[in-house]
Amino acid sequence: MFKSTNKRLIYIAVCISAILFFSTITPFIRPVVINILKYPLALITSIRREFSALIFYHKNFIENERLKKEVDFLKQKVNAAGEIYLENRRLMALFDLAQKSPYRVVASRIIGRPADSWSSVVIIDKGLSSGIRRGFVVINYLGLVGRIIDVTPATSRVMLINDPNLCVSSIVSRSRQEGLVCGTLGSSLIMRYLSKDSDIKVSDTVLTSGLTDNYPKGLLIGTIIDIGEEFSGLSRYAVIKPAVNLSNIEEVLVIIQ
Amino acid sequence: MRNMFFLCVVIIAGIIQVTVLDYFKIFGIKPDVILISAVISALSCPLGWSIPLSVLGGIFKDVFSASVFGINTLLLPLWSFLIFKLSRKIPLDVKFMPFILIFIVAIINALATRLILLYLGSPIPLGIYIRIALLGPVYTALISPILFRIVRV
Repeated sequence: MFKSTNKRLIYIAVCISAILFFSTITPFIRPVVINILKYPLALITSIRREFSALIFYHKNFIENERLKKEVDFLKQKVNAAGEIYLENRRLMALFDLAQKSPYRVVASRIIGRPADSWSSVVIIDKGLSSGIRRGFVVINYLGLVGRIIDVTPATSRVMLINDPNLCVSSIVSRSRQEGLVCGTLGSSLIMRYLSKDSDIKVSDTVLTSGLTDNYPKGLLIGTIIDIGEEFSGLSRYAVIKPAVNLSNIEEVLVIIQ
Repeated sequence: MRNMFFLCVVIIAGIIQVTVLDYFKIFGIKPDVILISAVISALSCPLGWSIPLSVLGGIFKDVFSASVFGINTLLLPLWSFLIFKLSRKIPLDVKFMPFILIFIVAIINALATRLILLYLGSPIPLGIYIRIALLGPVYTALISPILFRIVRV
């Protein structure tokens, strides 16, 4: 009887120690597990992509038609903008202003998404070997996506802008009103610390202000869809629809310079 | 053999959780199939297997989340252990009982996660928490019959 109780106690102690051990070392084994799972995850993501392409064939077909027309329209605009760009360069050279270098980016594909609803993190298939470092900003062609929080040689973890732990200093494009944009773990973002008399309107565009480390100025964050008053009554907040649809992004660009 | 089958269930649930399930998000919430698979293994396997399986599920969740330490690696085996003990006291294989159990476990899991995050100094705003803590367990419990049917517990 005593022996049996003793054995059970040892078993429970071993179990608890093992659980605590794994719980503590999880952050350290994270890169190893992600590297092991990199290829299976990439494969399943590709299969899922192909399946959704088949399922949404008609929707994609209609969208393709619409986008073709849009591309034609935008081509004209790009040509016009090209002219303005050249003119701008000539004028800058004339005034001897320092030319701001464009961002150097690394294109990457998303291979893993968050496993719980408490954080908004994705795994991308590029890491240290591609020049990516912790803290680098992640964008796509529509706007700001998030920030690198963890890097391994071949993969990186990106905290998306809808995570409440990620806040970005921002400005309203029209009125230059400053605020802090934070995530809500949902499809919208919230812009806080707006004074009661702040000049903001629904459909205003919100950009990064450049005041937060690493975030270049002028990256598109989203559009204001609602304005409300904080519970304290001292300030206002704005609900922002992100420019990037964070739930179905597949490729991103990491700004490495 | 049966235990190996549940090992595969946990691994597949983990891979599905981080790839396909994002398409099934409602209000930014997705069902927790890793939790369901841990509960299923606790109901179907001996304790010597269900605890390591839930540790594996927990590691999988923690690897793909932003948590600073293994919250889920700690919590999932605890739920597994409690469910195993509970299944000895009251019959859990009655109709709807497993789904109610999953709902309760998901709610307690959300509560525990909130407390740990508060303790670690990275609190989630209350409004967001309530949304996740209420919708998440309901969604997880609603999805669980599908997984129970696939695994045929």
